[in-house]
Amino acid sequence: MAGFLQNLIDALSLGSLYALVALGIGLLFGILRLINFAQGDYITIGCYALIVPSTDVTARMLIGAWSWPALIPAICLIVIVAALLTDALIFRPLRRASSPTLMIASFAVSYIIQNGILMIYGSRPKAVNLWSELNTQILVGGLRLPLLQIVTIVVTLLLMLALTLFLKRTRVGMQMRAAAEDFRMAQYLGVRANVVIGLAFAISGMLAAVVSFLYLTQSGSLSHVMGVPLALYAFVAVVIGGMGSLVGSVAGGFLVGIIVTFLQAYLPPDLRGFRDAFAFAVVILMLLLRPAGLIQNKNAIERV
Amino acid sequence: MDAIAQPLLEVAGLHVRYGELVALRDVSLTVAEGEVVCIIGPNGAGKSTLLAAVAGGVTPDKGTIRFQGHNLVNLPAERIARLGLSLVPEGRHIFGTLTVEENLLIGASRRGDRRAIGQDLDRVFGYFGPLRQRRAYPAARLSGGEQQMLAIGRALMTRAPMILVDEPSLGLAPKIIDQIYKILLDLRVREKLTLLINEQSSHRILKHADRIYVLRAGQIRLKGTAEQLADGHAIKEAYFGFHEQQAAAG
Repeated sequence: MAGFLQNLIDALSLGSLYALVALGIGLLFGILRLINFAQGDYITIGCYALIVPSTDVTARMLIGAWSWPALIPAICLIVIVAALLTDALIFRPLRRASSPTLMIASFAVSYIIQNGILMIYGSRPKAVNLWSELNTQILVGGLRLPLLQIVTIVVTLLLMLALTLFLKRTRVGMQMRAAAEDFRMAQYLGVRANVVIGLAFAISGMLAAVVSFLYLTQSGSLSHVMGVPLALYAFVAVVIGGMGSLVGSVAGGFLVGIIVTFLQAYLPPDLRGFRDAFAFAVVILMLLLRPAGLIQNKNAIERV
Repeated sequence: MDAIAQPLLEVAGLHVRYGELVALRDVSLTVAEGEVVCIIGPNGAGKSTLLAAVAGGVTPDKGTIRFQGHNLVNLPAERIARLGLSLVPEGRHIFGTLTVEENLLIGASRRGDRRAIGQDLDRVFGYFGPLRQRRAYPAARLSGGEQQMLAIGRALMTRAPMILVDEPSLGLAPKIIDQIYKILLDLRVREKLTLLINEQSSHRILKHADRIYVLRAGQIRLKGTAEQLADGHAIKEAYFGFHEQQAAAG
């Protein structure tokens, strides 16, 4: 039982990370029809911004040495600016481009970021100790629970609550929901396209920054491709959640986390090496059963 | 209507193409302040393209579109909305996941006058009673007629002096269509609106419009006041193109 509970917390914590990345991808997809694979690389940027730019093997902390009240806003700001820059330089000139074109462009952005980091920081992975005091266990009702996982889950839930309130209660949040549903109609009513799109990129950047804290504290290691698997799994989460539905993206993120963690825990040891193959087989099966995803995009339903 | 007065909307020599397909050819049209002008024409005549071009959804190849002295060509849709032109598009395009009230508030996106927005909301609910009862419902759950009311109400919330309405009767029952027209004409008087309306059929429009244009295959075939065209003969001929068919046959 304790083992199961441990696996469940692992699954929810991994699912939290996927859900946060999936939210960033889902938000931009809803508004721009852009599947942004660079979302993972925003996370990488957030991690590397902590250390002194150099190709040395040992990482020296720069912003990472600051205390958290300064560190968190600084990294958030850097990643948000990076996300807005990718929009201004790459995606804005492609506003009228088709969805596949935008996706290819996002791959280009992804490679540019990865190679930029490679040039500045070198190719060898670096060990980084961020908030290692979180890598401990706490006792809750006789159960030992990993603190970082609990923090990850709580932070994710709080962020989702905040995002929900923002989208539901603020004027511009409402405009974002309208634009996600029918961008052209929102423009016909005077909703400013660049404001809505800029905000979507900024929120994606902030979500990526938060993931970079949580992920790096857990993994303790930097690599220029560290964001890629996160973006890939999050993309899968967006697809099985139902493209264009934010609730679906979150549900998909948690589901992917659960599938991956439980396969890792309960597959026979000989088969664990093929965990991802099994995980994607489950995904294929789900898409065969529900091709539109867990939560169907309401735009797809014909209105009479 | 004073013929000498500067028209509110003036479209001149408009050409629109979708790739090789010519959608509009040398279309000119004027709408004076306070007028109700109707464009009628069969499916595919270019009516929706014309309204979309005015509202900034389609970029013309040639021609000018002037509204209150502003040139609208190449302006983004959001700017045109701000200048005071609001489109109620074909198929209504309501935001189905947003509530009825939120849909209306989106219409007021560019306005800062919060108190006036609240008053306008009340006024729109006054015109469209069924919407008030369903203000907290997701708009997707409204009936077709209610959605059309919502689309018109949303345009009113922009406080635009001129509203473009693309086929308001599409897919609605005759009784509902009559209701929608009654409201539109009521609004014309009470809100001092100028209306440009697209329709496929002329029989309702003849009663309500001041002037009519017949559009077929991308060109204006006929124009005149409602009285001039009252017997419907000329309209039928222009709509179906009998003369040209005979000429082609003979």
